Amino acid sequence: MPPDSVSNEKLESYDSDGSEVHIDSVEEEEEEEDFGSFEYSEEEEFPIDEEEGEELEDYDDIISNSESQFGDDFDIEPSTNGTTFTSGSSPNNGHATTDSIGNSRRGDEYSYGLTQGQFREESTSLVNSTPMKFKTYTTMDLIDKMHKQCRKLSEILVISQDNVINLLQFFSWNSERLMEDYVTDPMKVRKDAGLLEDSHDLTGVCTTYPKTNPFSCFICCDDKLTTYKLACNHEYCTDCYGRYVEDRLSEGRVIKCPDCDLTLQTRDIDNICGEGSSLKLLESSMKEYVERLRAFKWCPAPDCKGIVEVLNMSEVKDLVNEGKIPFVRCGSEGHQFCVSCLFENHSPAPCQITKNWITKCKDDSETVKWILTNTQTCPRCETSIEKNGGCNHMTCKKCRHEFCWICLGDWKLHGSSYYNCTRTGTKDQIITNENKKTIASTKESLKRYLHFYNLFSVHEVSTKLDMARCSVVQSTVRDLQVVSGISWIEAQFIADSAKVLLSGRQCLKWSYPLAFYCDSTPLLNIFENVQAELAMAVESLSKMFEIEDPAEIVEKKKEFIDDCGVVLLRQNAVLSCMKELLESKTLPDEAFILKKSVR
Amino acid sequence: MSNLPKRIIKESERLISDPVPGITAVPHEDNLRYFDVTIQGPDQSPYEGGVFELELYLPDDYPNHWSPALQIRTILLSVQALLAAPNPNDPLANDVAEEWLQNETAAIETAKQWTSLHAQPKPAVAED
Repeated sequence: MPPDSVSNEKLESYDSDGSEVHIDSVEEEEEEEDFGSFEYSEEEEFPIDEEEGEELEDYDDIISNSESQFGDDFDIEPSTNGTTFTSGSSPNNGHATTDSIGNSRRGDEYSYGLTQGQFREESTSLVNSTPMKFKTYTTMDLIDKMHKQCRKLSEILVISQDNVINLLQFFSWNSERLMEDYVTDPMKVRKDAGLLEDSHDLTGVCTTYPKTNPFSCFICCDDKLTTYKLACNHEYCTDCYGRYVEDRLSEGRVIKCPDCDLTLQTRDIDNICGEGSSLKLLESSMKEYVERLRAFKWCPAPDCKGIVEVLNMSEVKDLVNEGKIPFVRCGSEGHQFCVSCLFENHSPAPCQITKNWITKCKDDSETVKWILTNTQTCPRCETSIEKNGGCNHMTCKKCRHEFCWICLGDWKLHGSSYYNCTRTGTKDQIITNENKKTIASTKESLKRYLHFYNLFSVHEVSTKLDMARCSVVQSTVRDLQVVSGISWIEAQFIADSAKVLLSGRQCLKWSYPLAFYCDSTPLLNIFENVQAELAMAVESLSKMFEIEDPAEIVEKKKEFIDDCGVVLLRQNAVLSCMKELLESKTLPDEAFILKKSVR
Repeated sequence: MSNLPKRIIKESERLISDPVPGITAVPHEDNLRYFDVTIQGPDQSPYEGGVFELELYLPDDYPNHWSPALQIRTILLSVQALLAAPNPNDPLANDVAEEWLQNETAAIETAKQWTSLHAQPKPAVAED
């Protein structure tokens, strides 16, 4: 049977099943229009769900429930591998099942799991409302998703899942291209990817040699007793092979025999480096998998492995232009981050102001100047790249785009006509020099900047201290729980208060860059007053966390809750004042023109 | 000099016992990772008749974290090959490559001149 007919048939059914019948109709259209690459992977997920009939039924049930209860504007979208949050932009979104800063899913969005109705709805509605629709994932969810994709492809292409993993890694997880190419010429694809041409999965062989007749390893030139070799018969001692493979586990690409193009299979990797090693490779290739999907974002918090799928990516640009902050919460720890800046939630400062501010701050420490003089951005993905030697033929490590370091043009076009590239020095260097002069001539503005910068950085430091303190308090209260038998629910207020504190602190911190870019107007005076009140409330709550005695903390539950209420109220006031500032256009254009350096 | 990998020793031995034609590589006595290398300009290239002196240093992670296919021998061979067939489309020195592409005849002439000027084999040093 020609491979074409099989696959085409499968492809068709795959497509018709793939339409997102289960998703809210609005989102369906958006996604199909806007995410070429992303759309495909979404389609992946659903046919698989359908095959697993049980999950599907649950799914439909929940959906129909949501619809009947909440109408079109339902907020929690059940998913087999991910949790969806929609924090309606309307403040009276009464059904908001969003987790308030990523925690309890039972309360309204402003309640923080404190006694419901503790705070009046309208008073704090701005604090956690995000215009974003998103799903959260953990790395394990994503691994599942990848495995599902592999399973599916393995059925379509009639090859082992091991092979599919290799092929996908070879194709940088572009399964569409893999399918096309494989259907056209499976032998060529297999050969290119370093798989054996007949789809037999020959695992490598581990050999043990007698001491009297050891193996002389070509890599280390030592005599060794245990070796490994693939079907190509290139044999190395397990130490060298292990080091070779280990070095490449974090690169997320297929690993080939040290001496030829034959690809190591999952089992080979586990045999050589120990069980679970191939999972490491899969995890590292997940980076590539996620980065391929425009709608998927890694949580930028340090060491956080949360991943968020943004469902309304197409709206981000408009939201940013309107001065709204497209922030989401990662599932694992509830970190809030802006999907446009890929930075912590910087409300109330709009994205452009944030970018300006960050650039300005970095510039202050000479970093930006260094980046401007020593790096260029990849013309495709805009990653900063430093050239530390070698030729001008650059391959971006992130997106693998090949370009010319001198003209930043596509390398392919260079072939033999490399001689378009005679520019010396970059424009950026010239700009930096001009800017240096400007800095010198505007001492006044520098002084003003330093004032705001100090306030900003004071709160940045405080955030870290708060975080440390909060986790100490939480663990002491946890200990107390064990001893005194206080219920988890009762002690929950302390975790909630910690979240309020950190969110308030962050809001306060980011209110300074906003104020920095504002013209001096009566409205700014009001903003600064509101800001000062928030600062007082935050400090007062922060002080509560200095209480050492856990019993006293539990006793002061009511004070914690009250302080939280004040912080939320004032944070809300700052946010609504920010809205007015943005609408009244007291922000000079300067604030919105992203400059590469200090003005 | 503690613990020089056996591979480096073997490679060094082989470079001396079975040298690549036109290439010598001699490790320093006090640092066996440091090599004095000479490469003869390939025949029929503008570098013909010249002898080019190079320094080669094997970093600490050699050979452990290197591709096993890369050996001292193969690296030196590629340098020699580049002398025979320069690739100005992928240059290290842009200005030179530019000149080469704009006027190859003149560039080759310069290469010849410089070879005779700067890369003449030194009179034999007393051998030990």
